[in-house]
Amino acid sequence: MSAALLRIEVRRSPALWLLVLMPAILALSPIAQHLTPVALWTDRSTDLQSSLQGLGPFVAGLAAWVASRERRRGLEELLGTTARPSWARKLAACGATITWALVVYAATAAVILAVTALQATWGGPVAGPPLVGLAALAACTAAGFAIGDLLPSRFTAPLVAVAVFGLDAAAMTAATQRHNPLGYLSFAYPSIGLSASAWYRVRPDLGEVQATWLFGLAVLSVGVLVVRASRRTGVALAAGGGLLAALSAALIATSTTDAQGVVVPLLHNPASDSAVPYTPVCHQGTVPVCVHPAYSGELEQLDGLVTRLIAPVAGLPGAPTRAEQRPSGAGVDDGVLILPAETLHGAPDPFVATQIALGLVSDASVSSSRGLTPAQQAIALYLLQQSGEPFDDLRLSTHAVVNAEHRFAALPASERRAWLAANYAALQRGQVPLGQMP
Amino acid sequence: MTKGKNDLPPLTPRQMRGGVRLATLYLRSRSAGPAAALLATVIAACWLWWRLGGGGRNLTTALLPMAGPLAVAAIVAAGARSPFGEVETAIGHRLPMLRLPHLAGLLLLAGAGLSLVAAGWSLPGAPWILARNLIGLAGLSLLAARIMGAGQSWLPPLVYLVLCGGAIDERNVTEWTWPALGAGDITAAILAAGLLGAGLVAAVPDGARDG
Repeated sequence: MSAALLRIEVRRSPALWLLVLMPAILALSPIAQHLTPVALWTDRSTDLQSSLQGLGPFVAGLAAWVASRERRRGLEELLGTTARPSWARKLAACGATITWALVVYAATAAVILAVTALQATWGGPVAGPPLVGLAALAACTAAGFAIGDLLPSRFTAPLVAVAVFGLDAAAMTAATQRHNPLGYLSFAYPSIGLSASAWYRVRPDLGEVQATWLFGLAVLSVGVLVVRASRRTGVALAAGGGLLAALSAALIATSTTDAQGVVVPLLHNPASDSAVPYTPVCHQGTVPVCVHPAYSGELEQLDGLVTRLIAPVAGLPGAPTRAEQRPSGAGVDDGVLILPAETLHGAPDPFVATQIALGLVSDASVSSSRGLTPAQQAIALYLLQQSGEPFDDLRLSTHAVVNAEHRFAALPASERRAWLAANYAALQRGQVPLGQMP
Repeated sequence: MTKGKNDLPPLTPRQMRGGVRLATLYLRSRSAGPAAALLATVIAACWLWWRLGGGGRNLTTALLPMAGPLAVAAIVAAGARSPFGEVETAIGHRLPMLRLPHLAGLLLLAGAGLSLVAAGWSLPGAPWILARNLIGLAGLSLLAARIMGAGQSWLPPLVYLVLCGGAIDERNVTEWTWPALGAGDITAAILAAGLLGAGLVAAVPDGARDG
């Protein structure tokens, strides 16, 4: 593959469309909305990896389109008579697509990291997730190109793009909702544990496996591309890539998860589990609200949220006397309301409000072992409704829970307070049946 | 009834055979056979995707009513590409009469298939949502085929799908992300119909851009 050929391919690549489309996607995507006050390097680095959810399908589709060019233009026989071997032409075209994808990715990285450098409230740059993103870019391009070369048709490019999009969504669902370890191999799945990132050192286990998997896929695809021109080299590359991919799948199959993220036993270094010391930042509202210093920019907003939610139960037996942000857990633990380690992004967050309301009606030891009772959910819904906060209605939408909340909210304030005073502690332990509510 | 001055004489059997042959050759030049086979494959994949997704509320099943129609719309728009370019445009003055039935036929086939597959889904109004999204995304793809070329006509709808996916993820679905709206939304239906109309008006008279 000569430099001149690569230069020509770079100039004529349809991947130039990426320069137009990707900034639009990224500007309108949730990633751009995350560029708000609480700036953790770990979060932002992972946002960069997440940008592959948008970039990956396009790069794969465009690579498939470029790969079928010779057939589309009827140039196969003509180019077959030239001195250069076919694999050199193909690799040059594939390289040009990767080059443009890298330019877009690097520009995105430069913007995100520059904004983060100005805003960062905790930690330092984390190389893992952006590198996994790079490997994903190479894998998507090489795989798209190999498929386009094997099946050169007008339909290949769009179907490859939609398939990459769909497969990644399926893998993300498998990882997040079914806890299937193979889903962690999705190129958009965060390679570091986000909720624990400010409290513990970065655990590289998953990033290493993801990068190996993606690198293996890229090598496998190049092998498939080369095999028709040079059987021995192609088979060796494909076998090597397949072996790497299989090894990664085997490693991830043995993984487990905890509050800090994914543990891969063979790669795990216990030193990465050590806690990072910090002094909490507190604000005195109805109860003292304390957060990790990384989240200090949102302390006032969080304090206001806790004050509004806690108002009906403040001062009652069993009510929390302090609220504290922790990397994991939920509920009230020894008089301390555990606050989720989630970024509010400067706006009311239904997830965080719901999480706090559910925590207010549950004992930490009980809520970790089983789900909340309908009575607990009804009172949590009442706390949310009276606070005026937006909430996650998917978690509190059953008919019985909504009816019980309506009945409770319709009571006079003094009756509500009296019922809570008599039952709040038992409610937290999950010992109040729905029928016992007024 | 008297015979009008401009009435065409009835077609002879030879002319009818010629017409059928012309239509057949046109469909072959647009890879209509492989397109129909791919449509069937995508529809089957949608059925499988829903089954494997468990039919519950998750990202995969939330994206399916958009991703399935997108794949189908991309196939229809890619089929609009002419392998003959300007030569065909120069000598074929009645091409729109072939283009419209070709595109409409593929869309009807795909719409019927998707609706049939979605009939058993737990998502309220699923057959209509898939048909509506197919209509709108096909319109967008055909517009793109006219402007960017049929080969790259999948780019704008995919950009739009990624944005809609982000809106679902952030629970911020509005009219701007109409494919993610429910079956009863009139605005979404009007937007989809408008897009299809615009797409057909753009792509039927002059075909897809050569690219």
